[in-house]
Amino acid sequence: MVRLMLLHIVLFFAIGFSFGQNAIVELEINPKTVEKGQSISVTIKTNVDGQTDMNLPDEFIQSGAVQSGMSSSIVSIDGKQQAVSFKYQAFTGYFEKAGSYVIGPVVIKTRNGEIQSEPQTVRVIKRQNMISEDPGKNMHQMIFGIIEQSKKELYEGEPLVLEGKVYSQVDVLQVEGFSPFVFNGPSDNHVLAIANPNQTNSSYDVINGKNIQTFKIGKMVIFPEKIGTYKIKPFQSVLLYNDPRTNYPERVKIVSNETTVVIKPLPEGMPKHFIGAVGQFGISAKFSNTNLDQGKVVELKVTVRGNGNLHNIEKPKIYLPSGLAFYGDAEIVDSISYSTRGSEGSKTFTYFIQVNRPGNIQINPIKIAYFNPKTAKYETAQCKVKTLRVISNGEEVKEIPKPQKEEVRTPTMQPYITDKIGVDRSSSPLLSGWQGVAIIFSPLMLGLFLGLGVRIKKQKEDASNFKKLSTQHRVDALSGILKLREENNNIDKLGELTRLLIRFLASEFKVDNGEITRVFLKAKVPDEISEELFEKIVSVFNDLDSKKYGGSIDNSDVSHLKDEVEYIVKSFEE
Amino acid sequence: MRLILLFISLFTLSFIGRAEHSLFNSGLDEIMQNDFKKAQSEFLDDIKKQPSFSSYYNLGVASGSLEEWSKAKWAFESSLKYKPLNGDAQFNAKFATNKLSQNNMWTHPYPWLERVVLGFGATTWTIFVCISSIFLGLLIFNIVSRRKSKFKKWCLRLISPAILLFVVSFYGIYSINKHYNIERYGIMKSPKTHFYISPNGVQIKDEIDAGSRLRLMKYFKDSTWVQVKSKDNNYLWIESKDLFTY
Repeated sequence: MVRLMLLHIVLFFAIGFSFGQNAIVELEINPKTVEKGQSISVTIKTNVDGQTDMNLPDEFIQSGAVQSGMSSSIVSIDGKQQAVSFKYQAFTGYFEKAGSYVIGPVVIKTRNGEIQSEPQTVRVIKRQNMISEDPGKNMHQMIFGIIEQSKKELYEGEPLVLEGKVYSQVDVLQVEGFSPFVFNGPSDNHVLAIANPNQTNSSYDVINGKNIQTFKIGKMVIFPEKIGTYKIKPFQSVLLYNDPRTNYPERVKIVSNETTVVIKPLPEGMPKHFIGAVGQFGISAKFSNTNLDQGKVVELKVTVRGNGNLHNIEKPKIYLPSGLAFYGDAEIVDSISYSTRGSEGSKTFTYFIQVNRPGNIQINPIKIAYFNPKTAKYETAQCKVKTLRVISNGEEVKEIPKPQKEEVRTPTMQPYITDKIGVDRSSSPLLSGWQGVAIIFSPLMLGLFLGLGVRIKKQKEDASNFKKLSTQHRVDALSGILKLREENNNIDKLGELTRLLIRFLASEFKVDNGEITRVFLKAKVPDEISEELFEKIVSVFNDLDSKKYGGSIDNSDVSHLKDEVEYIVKSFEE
Repeated sequence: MRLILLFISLFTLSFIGRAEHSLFNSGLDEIMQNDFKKAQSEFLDDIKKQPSFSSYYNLGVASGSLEEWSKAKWAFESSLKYKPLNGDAQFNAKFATNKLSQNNMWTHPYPWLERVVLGFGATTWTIFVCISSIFLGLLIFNIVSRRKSKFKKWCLRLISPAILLFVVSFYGIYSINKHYNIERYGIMKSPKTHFYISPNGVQIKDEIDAGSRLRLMKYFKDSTWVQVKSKDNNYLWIESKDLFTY
């Protein structure tokens, strides 16, 4: 019961899974570039049931039966890797005329509608003329092999096509083993034969008047990587043939001849825009968007198409005008197949360009240069791109700084100079040594001496004035004493005499009148006045006070006091 | 008569000037024709007559071209005496030093303060010292004379900057005089130069880096011998003839 339930669950999921798969119809052609008569393989893959219909050109000649079966593979659907089971139908065929032929699309009519694949284009080219040794010289052998090559001499980068050709004077029944020829040097090799080398198409050639069975085997395109002369070592094969002597099948191992090829360097005069391409090439370019805002990044897709060594070309150099800057590295997507013409198809370089200024910006035509081995000359291809219309955003966008490659160069000295500069002006002794110090300090010394002179002169003047003033107040004091003699009133006399003495002393000591006291005068002894004079002054002051306040002033004689004051004044003169 | 004398003296002066300039130009001609030996000789003669930055610099270029790196280092560092801030001369001096010794890190021979002082130039310092000296003279006069005036009040207010300016400009003139008139450094003419403990004394076996700059300390015996201080602060004696000095 449990097992039955589990089986139901598994079947339910399996049905759901199969219905959950997206419907797929694919048409595969391999190779897409072939020579006239060369087989191509056509494969139809689908995971739906229905009536299959397919467009095949009238020129297509089917050469084998249709094979069908089931298979599964990992496919990418909407960016997700998914395991898909599908049915396939495959068949082979060839074209007898050169040109481009469209195969497909494949249409499958189901109950839910029609599903169709993308059509595919096959390019059929002329047969490559092959060079080989004369097979007539090997007619003494029953079966022999000769290496055929597209050229004996070629330029570096140019493809070399090699193929083995087997000649047999007996019926070859089967190719049981094949060891391909070996290019004895650095090279990039690509096998062109699509079918199993054991299954070959034979034909008959007439050699030395004799019908000989021939078949070709192990076609290969080689891109020699270095110049020089290289050997191509022989191919080997084990063949099953019908021995005419016994009428039984026999095996034989054949070893072909050995040949050489010369790889020449490209001629001098390589153009500026050379991208390392050898063959025939063209170029086209397109912006992803021509109307954009300032500061945005636009994609420029540059596609190089052609044949030769397309897989080895470098990206075209693009010179941007000011205001445009590359934003990161270019992305490269190629669609390349290998044929007798080398690698052919297209290689698309996507450049990301930041636009940093507004306005209409025109990029210069994009140029490439390649070497055409047919003309043995460098040729140029170019294309124009549309003008970019950039709308200003009002902001100044800073250009992304380019990572600058470090320039390696041998360091050298800075060069010589032609102007005579930095001439020695230090030879003037004016400001050096003691004389320099004397000159520098002369204004200071002059100021000092002149100032001192002025000061001394001024001091002298002051002293003179002081002397004049001191003499004057003594004269004034003496004249005042003289005037007192004319006074009759003793009270007035004593008052005036006291004032005269105090004023005189104040002038003498350069103080105010109020400061003249006995204590003040005592302090002046003995530096400015003598002890005797001090006693005299004090006794005069005492006498004056006693007379004024003693009550007997009217009858007293004050003349001796006047004399004593006069004596004091004169004492100062001395 | 006076006119004739004036004319003769002017003619002589112009002739001397042209002769000096012609030596420099001859050196330039030789250097342009890659005759560096002759160019060296011309520039050396020019330096003897009138040393200049350009003459020393071009002598360095000529010597460097002849792979005479000691002479080149000396010439470039000597040129820095006249233009201490020149970038090309500094680069070439460093270049020559590296050629002499990979281990030697080149440094500028003159300290930054000296470079700043030299950068202002002798004329600037002379003007500054004259102005400040006269100003201070007036100030001293006013202070000493005890005169009362408005000028004295301003003098007292500006006394600090005046003294500072005077001291700085005096130092500037002193530094410039010292810079141009005293030889301070020496470069060995050859890596095999011998050093001695004393003049004519015992030879020192220590190897001195060929790219090193030696500081001159003192001369001896009519300047035949010179005492130098090495990078390691060792005092050594060397014969003057083995040394480029500047």
